[in-house]
Amino acid sequence: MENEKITSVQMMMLLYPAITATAILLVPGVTAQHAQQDMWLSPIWASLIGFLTVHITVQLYRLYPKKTPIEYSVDIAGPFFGKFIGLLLLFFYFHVTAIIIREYGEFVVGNFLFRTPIDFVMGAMVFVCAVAVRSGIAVLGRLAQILVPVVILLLTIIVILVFPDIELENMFPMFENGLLPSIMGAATPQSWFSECFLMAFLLPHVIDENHGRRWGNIAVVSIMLTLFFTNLATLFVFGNITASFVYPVISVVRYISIADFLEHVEVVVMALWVVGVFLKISVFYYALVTGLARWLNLSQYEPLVFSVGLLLCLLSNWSANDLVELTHFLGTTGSFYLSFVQTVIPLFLLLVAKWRNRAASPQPAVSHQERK
Amino acid sequence: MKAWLVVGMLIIVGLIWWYEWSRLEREYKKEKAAVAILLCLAMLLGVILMVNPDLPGPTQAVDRLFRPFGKMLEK
Repeated sequence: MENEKITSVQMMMLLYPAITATAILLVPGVTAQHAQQDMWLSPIWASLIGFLTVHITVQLYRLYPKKTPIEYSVDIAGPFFGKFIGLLLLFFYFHVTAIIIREYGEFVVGNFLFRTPIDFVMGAMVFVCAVAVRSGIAVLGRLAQILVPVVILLLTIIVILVFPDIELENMFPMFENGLLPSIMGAATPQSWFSECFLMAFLLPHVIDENHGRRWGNIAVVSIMLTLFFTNLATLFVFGNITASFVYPVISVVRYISIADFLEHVEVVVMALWVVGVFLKISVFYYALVTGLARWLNLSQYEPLVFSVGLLLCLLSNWSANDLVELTHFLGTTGSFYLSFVQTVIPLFLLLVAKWRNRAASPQPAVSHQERK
Repeated sequence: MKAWLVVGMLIIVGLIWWYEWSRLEREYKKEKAAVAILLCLAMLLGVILMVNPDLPGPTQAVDRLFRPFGKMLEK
């Protein structure tokens, strides 16, 4: 496999859009259904899963340096079950990448390009991402380094522009039914935080891997803050009707009107989202294609990129009938699906690996100490 | 209409195949086989979805698998 390198800061900048980009589309509405006026607290509960996933991923990487989950699952669970777990991960990333592409397509067609066929919108995005993925991880890292600061700046400007419209009393009564509604509301965002497991596919390329844990955690904190502020902004503007919007954040941005002069800001937001989703799909796509190449023991992954892209286009068409079905899936069973594959399976692998290392000779433990 | 979709799929598959084939050296047999299998899968899936667009997909399978948990979040 290629030996391109990224820095741990670039890794964090790839993780940030890989989670935020779609987490501010559908998720605030789903969160509001459960948590109502406590929805600002949900991202904080949800981020606990993010910290747990980063911890598990880094621990596994310490035990099996320079290896991705596709390879160390074979080391941990044996050739048969290991390959099976690898196949499960590949199917999962196929499915989830297709769902993300579909989310992007539905968002663009539903809000901006009403007359464009959705297949064209999705196909164009997949093609751009395929070119980026084919160029390698170093190019993706530098792209993120250029684009993510712009995305963060624009998001901050939007939150500031909402200020004239906020009504603080929308937040009250705080904790009317105890903490439970806000924890229920965290169920969907936590599945987005479990996507931190993508770190496992990036870590073998990180040049200063000792800082991987720190920047992974910084990524989780920055994502948590972003979701916290966007949820707070939507809550302050819309109050308890937030749950009735499909895309609450875009509706808030449509609401911005300063002195009858600054209006129609959602055009900026669309640019921001297209950039974010482009990075998100690229990271997932990269994990999927390199994972597939490693699973098949190929020497390079580039030849697979375009054919996988074609399959992704078809699969995204197949993944749901319409937006309502997609939202319902992501709000209910999908939440458990994502965190089951990306947090529970790695946790299981880590426990088995620790148990095997204890049972076997103490040699891996020595190498573990040397790494410290 | 459907015939045109099949022709379009064939053109895309042919383009990808031609592009990858012209870049891979002779010794990369496994890579070529992998590309061929993936393209065949795509073609097969494309034709199946054209014949029956409402076929239950992976989302429905996962939905059935995790429904006991998903019920907790139904509203």
